[in-house]
Amino acid sequence: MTSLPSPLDSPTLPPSPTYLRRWGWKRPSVLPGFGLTMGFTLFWLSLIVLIPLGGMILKTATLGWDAFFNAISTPRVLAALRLSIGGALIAAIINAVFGSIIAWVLVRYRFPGRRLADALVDIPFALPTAVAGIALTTLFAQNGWLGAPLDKLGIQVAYTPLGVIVALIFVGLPFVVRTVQPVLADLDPEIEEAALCLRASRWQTIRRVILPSLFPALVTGTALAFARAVGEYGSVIFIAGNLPMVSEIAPLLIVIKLEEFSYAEATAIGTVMLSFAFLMLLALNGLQRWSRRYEEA
Amino acid sequence: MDITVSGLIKGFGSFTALHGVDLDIHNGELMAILGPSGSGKTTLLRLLAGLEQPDAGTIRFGAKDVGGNLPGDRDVGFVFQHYALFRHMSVFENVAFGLRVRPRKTRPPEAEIRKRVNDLLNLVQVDWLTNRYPSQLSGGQRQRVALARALAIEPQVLLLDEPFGALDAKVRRELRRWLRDLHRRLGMTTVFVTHDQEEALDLADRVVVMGQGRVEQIGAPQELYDAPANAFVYRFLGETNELQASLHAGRVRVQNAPIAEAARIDLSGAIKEADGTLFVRPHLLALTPDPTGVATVTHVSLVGAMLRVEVETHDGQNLHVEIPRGPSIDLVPRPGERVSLMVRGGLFVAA
Amino acid sequence: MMPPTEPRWVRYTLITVAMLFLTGLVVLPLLLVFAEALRQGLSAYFTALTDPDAWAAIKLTLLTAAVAVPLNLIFGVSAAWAITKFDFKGKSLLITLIDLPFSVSPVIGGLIFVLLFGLQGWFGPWLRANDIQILFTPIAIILATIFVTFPFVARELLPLMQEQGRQEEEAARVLGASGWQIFRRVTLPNIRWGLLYGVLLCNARAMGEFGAVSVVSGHIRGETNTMPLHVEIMYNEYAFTGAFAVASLLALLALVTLVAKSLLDAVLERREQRVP
Repeated sequence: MTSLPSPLDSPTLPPSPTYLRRWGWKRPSVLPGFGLTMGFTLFWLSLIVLIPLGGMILKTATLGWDAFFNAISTPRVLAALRLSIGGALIAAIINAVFGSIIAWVLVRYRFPGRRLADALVDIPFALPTAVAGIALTTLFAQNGWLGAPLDKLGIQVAYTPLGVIVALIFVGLPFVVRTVQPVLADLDPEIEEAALCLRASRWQTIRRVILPSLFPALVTGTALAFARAVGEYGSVIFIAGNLPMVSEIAPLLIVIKLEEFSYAEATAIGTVMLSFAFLMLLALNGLQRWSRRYEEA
Repeated sequence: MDITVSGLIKGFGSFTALHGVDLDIHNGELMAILGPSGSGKTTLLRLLAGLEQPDAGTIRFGAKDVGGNLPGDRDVGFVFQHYALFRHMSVFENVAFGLRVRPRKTRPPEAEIRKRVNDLLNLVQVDWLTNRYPSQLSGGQRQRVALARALAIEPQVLLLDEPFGALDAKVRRELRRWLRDLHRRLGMTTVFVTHDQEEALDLADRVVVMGQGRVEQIGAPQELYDAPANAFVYRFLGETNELQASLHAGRVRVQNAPIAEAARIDLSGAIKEADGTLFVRPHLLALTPDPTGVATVTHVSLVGAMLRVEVETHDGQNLHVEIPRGPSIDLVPRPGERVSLMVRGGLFVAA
Repeated sequence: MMPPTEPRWVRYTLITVAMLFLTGLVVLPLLLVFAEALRQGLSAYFTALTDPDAWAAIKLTLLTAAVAVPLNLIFGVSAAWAITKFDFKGKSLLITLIDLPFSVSPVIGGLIFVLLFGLQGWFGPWLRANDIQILFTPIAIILATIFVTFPFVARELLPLMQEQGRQEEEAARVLGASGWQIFRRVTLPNIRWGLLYGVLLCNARAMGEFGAVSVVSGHIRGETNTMPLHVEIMYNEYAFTGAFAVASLLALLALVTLVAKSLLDAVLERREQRVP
């Protein structure tokens, strides 16, 4: 087409005082109930979450920087934080591997017991942590169903840092499987067939086509498992043995400090963990946006 | 119900959907709002329904300013593009909904609701689907149910958003004819939005052509097609060829050859001397075999009542020509043949 | 048709690895709970459950869930309505804040209420002057439970209501329905299964919460012990049958929740299939 000056170039707009107002923070809508529902949401959020968390942060602020730093830099606190974060990281990586295998098997293969296995994946999510804690401890204790054979091999799980990791694997498992599974199920079989037609081997197809499509979900699921494991308490304290400097996790240290009425130290550790959780949440939001970057709008 | 719209402005965030729209819709009229996507046509319809509030401007139904009225108080029936049927209710309950939610004082008794819903389902010819759920209906059936639901509250005005947009071509044509009959029978002021010019021209009494948030032209279908107000309308309604042209002493010249006196060229207010573009509809171009002609035939399509011929001029422009097809096929031009072209009418727009 | 697949030995190896992992980590602990609970016979099991302290713990757990779940249900529906049916600035921040209790350690969920209501807490002196006790009472347990189960219902509803859009509600509005009528007759029927699922999860977590509750409870037997706390105390006193008997009830709750979830999934799947 030949280019034309657009005939649409404006006759000037009529001056209108409301023209630039448009919407401030909320777009007008014909649906009712915004004031009521938003009001209650903010009220309840403030009452249950914001004010109590704010109270803790305020408490930390009144400690002063030195007291805060002293509280969290004792070797015992550092060791506990290291165990909580490091153990959670190791557990998350193990979950990334086995969680992907489980998701793959559940989506791609048909075998007897598949539906049951699929349902079992949610157990760690639904089982109260204290129950999981005593069950895992009994299972992996020296005379337990799994603990006894492992003991013969010279491996001790219960009451060691290894036990902490086992408990953290348990709580994180559903996060990886349930994040990867739907993405894997939605993967268009045609892209694999296309790869096949382009003479890619099966392994090449998995490595170059399937894994890259799964990667964002896998990272997100692993991060979710990690975030959950860092703060985990109930399922860990029974199996950990809770030896200071060795197998004592950070949330337990908060509880111990509270029992000793050392509110300041408990608050300081709590604030560190809260900041960490908030950062993880922001990172996860970013991850989710990143993982949707190929999706059509 | 006459509808008068004046100075309507509507923005969403930093995007302005309507830049001041004025419009009169007469009582009982079937009016189409036609435009490409992003032209603001759906926004205009939603403003009429009260589903959006304008930033400025007024909307009157009859003498009454309905600006502050919620959609439920405007006496409008609205048919959504994707129907928005309540998926958990049967066809019957969908249609009855508008009656059942009335305050107890004005709610008709159950027997009357039943009768009215059944009459409506009869009217839209889906009475045999009464107990089905929306997910069990075809697209055309959903459309009819959505229409019955909108009519159940006895609206003064019926608004339809892309009523045939989600349907396949055959159902489309069938429903179009049916909607026209229905409008004739009910005589209700009806406004529908479409991006399909054939649909608008075929169905509506008058058409509003919109582009980028402004009304480009309002008129009866034939008026729009034969006398487009500007290049936008020309391009949007039907096929068009665009020729580089100039205006000298009141005569339009293409490649320095003046166009025949007999041709009906609309100058759209252009002054005496200017370069610009001449818009010509395919059926307003004629071609004659001529070994010294300026164009070569590149493609001929023989399907239908028209011969569609594509030619390329010696300076590289591709043009479409439509010729009524005679009874014999001897006169059909062949690809590669040289022809000369004649313009029989068009619109000149100065650059 | 199944997409291209791997050689048989690869498939079998992967299935075996996956099943072994699930068995060792999930199936065995679950079986173990019931095995330990019944190890000393049925009568010991029922004696453990009818112990007055166990019974008090069960009652407190039921009370806690009965208060926390409805409140969070109302909150979840409110938040989901405000967030999905309207456009406003700061929406993603609001969602992040609602999610926050989900990502902080449960111990923090208890700690914050100790800092508010404890003797050294913000309201501590005032509460003491007025002779009001909140910490180490069921009120604190309920508050901490509300905190940790805060996002459950909202999280289930948000994606669901987002996906369903606003057109049906708008259509109801044009037909003259009032706000309550729109919610009751149009929105609620469309979200009821998701809502039920959210409530189930919220309930399971409310009854099973340990960390947050443990911090605020004070472990007063017969008064501020919930079922998970009772399990802990019994276990630490080597009363294994007592611990696992109550634990088996909690495990049953988890199983019932999961079965209900599978049934809901099946219902939803069937509904999806009805849509052509």
